[in-house]
Amino acid sequence: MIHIKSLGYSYGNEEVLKDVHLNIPEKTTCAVIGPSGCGKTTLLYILAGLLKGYKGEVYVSGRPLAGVRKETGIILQDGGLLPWKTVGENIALGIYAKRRTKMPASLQVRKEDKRVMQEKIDNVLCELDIKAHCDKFPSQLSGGQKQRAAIARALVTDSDLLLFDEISSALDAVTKEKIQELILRLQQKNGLTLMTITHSIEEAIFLGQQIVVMEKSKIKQIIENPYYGKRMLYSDEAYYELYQVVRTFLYEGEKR
Amino acid sequence: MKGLRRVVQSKTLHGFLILLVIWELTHQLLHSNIVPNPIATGVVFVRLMSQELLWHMGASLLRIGVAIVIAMLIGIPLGLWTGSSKRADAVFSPVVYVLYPLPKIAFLPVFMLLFGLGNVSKIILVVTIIVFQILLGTRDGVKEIPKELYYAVKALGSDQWTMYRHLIIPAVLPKMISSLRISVGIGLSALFFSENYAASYGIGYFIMDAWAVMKYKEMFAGILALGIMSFLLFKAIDLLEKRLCSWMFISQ
Repeated sequence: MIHIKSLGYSYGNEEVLKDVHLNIPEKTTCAVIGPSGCGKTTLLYILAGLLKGYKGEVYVSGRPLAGVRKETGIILQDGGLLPWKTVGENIALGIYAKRRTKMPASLQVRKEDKRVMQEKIDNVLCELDIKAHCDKFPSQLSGGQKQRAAIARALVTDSDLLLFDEISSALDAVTKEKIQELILRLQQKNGLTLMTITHSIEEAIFLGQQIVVMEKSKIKQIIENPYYGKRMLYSDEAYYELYQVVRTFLYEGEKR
Repeated sequence: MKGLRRVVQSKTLHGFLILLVIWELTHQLLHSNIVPNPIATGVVFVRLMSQELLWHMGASLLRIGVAIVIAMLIGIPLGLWTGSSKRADAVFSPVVYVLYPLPKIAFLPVFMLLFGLGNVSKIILVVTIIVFQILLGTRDGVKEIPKELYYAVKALGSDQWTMYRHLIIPAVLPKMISSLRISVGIGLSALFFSENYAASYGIGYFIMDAWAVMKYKEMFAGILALGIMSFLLFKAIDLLEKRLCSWMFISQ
């Protein structure tokens, strides 16, 4: 699904990514973990088609990446919802924006289109269990509800690739686990490819079939993770070992 | 009954009552007809309203209204442009920074020479005062849009039109409206000044004319009218804000 070969990116003179190689097969998940400023968010923005002028090759779904791709959804830390739109309107914008780029000639949404659109929105609202909040504004939602709304907006356009940027770092422990489980369930049910950027080792182990440890602008290590999708306890020896491996790589990256 | 209670409990009314008390006290203390008492002024105001005062108010409101519309038509697009293009900002901002603090009133003679003594020069004066506020307010509003929000909407596949319609314009509205609010006050003062010259209509002319013939009650009725105009303008801006930025007023 995602195929990255010697990817590099600089902001001005500062090299934020260099020589990054990464493969994410279709319908699998990948968690990227690393210290602040290691370039992981830049990597996500590049995959979302938001940053141009990168060096190297990036293929998404077999095609060289050029700009925003219709079936890619991104979910940012605070959800990235527009504060002046209700949840329903925010989700509708997902459909509207993509439809416009597809056929710029037709400005008006036809009546039956509107019905189909509403149906789609309703479905996704039900799936994410936020139907009751459809007419609320983002400022009236809790952190977890905002995340659900943002996921709904990404899913409503039948995305097959979802990119998450530190979505659980502002959530309380229970909400965090619930969102992680929701993401996992949606990924498995809809066969999504998924990349999630995180600060938390637990989250990386729960959500990533591959765990990518980054250090300053480079990939330090890619670890295959057998515990993906399982809630393990630290008392489990093998799990604790994996946890320590990730932790050691993170620490080593930090030191340099 | 309910309506009456709402009027009595209205905070706006309380504010006005305080203003009236201060006015009356000033009148009592000065003990001079230069500051007439509010009730006598009110009587004159009501009498004048049915005569020419309404026309003077209308003339001034029309001028400031037209000036606001023109200033927005110029200031908003320029603000959106300089806010979203670094190059445009680099070219335009120094120009704005030079022109903005200049006292535009000093240019009134120039405007009158160029555009005549009528409405045009007065409107242009007010436009030059308001437009910079709106331009800078809009520009800063665009610049303050969080990068994440920008990326989130961009990643939905939004084209330029969608970005403006759904992200940039709604995001700058609150800032634009507060800069409008600030500039309307200054605009009114400048209008008052310009109406002292070669005008035969306008609230500024009315007040200064009454002053010249020492009709102090009339003069104060004019000041009262100016106050009411200002109140109405600010209320209209408040209403506009509630309308356009309703999302800001929802309880969390």
